Amino acid sequence: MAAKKKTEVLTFEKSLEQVESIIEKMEQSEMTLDDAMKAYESGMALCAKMEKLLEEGQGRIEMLQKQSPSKSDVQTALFEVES
Amino acid sequence: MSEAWVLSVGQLNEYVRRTLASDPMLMRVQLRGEISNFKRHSSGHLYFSLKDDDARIACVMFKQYAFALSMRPADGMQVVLSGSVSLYVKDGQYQFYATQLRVDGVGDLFSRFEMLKKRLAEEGLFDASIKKSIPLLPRTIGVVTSPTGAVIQDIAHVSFRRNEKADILLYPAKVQGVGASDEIIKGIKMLNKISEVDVIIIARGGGSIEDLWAFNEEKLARAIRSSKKPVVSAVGHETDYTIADFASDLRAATPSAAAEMTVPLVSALQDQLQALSVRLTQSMQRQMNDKANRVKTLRMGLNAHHPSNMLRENALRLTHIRSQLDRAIHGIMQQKLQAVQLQKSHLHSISPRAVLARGYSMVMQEDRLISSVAQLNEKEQATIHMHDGYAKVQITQKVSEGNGSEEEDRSSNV
Repeated sequence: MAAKKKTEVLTFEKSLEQVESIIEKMEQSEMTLDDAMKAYESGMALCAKMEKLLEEGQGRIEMLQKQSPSKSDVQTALFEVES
Repeated sequence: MSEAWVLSVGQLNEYVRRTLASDPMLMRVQLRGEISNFKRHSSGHLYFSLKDDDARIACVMFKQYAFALSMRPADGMQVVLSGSVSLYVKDGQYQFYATQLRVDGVGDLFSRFEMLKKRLAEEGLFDASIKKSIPLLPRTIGVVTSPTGAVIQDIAHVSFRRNEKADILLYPAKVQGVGASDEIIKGIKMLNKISEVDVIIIARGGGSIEDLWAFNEEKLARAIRSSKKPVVSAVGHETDYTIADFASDLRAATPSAAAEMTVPLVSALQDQLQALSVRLTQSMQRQMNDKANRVKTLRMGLNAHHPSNMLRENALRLTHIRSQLDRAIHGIMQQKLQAVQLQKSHLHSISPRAVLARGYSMVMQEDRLISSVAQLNEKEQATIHMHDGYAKVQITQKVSEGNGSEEEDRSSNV
């Protein structure tokens, strides 16, 4: 597996939930302009993050090598897909 | 009959035991029948009867063989035993010493399946409440299946069609035959250790119940349930159900369906995101509009109380008052004018000139109006005023008529 090290970010569904709850709040209640701006910005930022999550990935299949002794030493090989 | 030929019971039983044990035919027997009176002794030995329609035989399986069994025998099972026939010397009972036990035939695979399913269901292993949800957008999909064959190809094609950025990590495993379930279990454990893997699909194409049997093993069901990551099972065709299907977090009818259910359609997610950001912007717009409207309302309120309004109002009132004044003064003037006219005509009627016009005359002397003879100065001039002019006259004589004295003015010329 290629070095895909990354810190645990908000999952896609959690982000979706958050944006939805932000929108609900904005649709249903009167907010101060400041709060509305903040909510809007964080909602937009979450949308952008989700867009990015959709772009992640390399679109390929790898096959684990059975000899892989431990998780720190996982061996993979590219796996060919018949088209 | 000689005493020497009398045997003890033990001797007889021992003799029969040896005879049975030395018969080559009875040393290796395969025996088919149904288990009944099954008992597992605390020592670990198994005791039961094997019967068919016609007969029965007592059976024992010692613990060293019982431990090697991959399934749990139970009453009613059709089995094939391997072993030998011998006699239990102590009570003279002849019995079957089984060393192997296997389920007999396909029909019994179904009943094994049903029994295991029932037992695990009762244990709560299939409860909906313990099932994990499948992540909406898995980073990497772990797949445990055979590296050869259509299954991995189908999964890959569907995955990439739905999300061309999908990553798949294949754990190649045997999916049928001896050791298959162990390999699948190893795959689940291995993929659990790889952090990028968000969901695991265990898959196999269609086949007979024997082919799919690895997916009916109890240990696989338990491995699925102890997986930290959600497991999707896709075994066989739509109509095939395996224990793994019940134990998994999500059952897919086919490997392709497993990919459908696991890999999100990216274009749909993009549409959803688009719709969300539109809604977000609209709600922001609404918040802003609300504020703007409130400002507008406030401004209108303020404007209503602007000083210039008071000025304008006052000016209006002033104009009004002025016009009232004008009207009033005009009325008064009119009244006065009428009064003057009235007086004038009245005056006119009592004017001396009017009297003069009627033929009377007015005598004046030294600018005095003379109303009495006594006022006249004799021998002096006077003026007689008539309506159309005057005449100067000389007073010649005055005559008073009241007391008899006579003064006559004789001389008069014009």
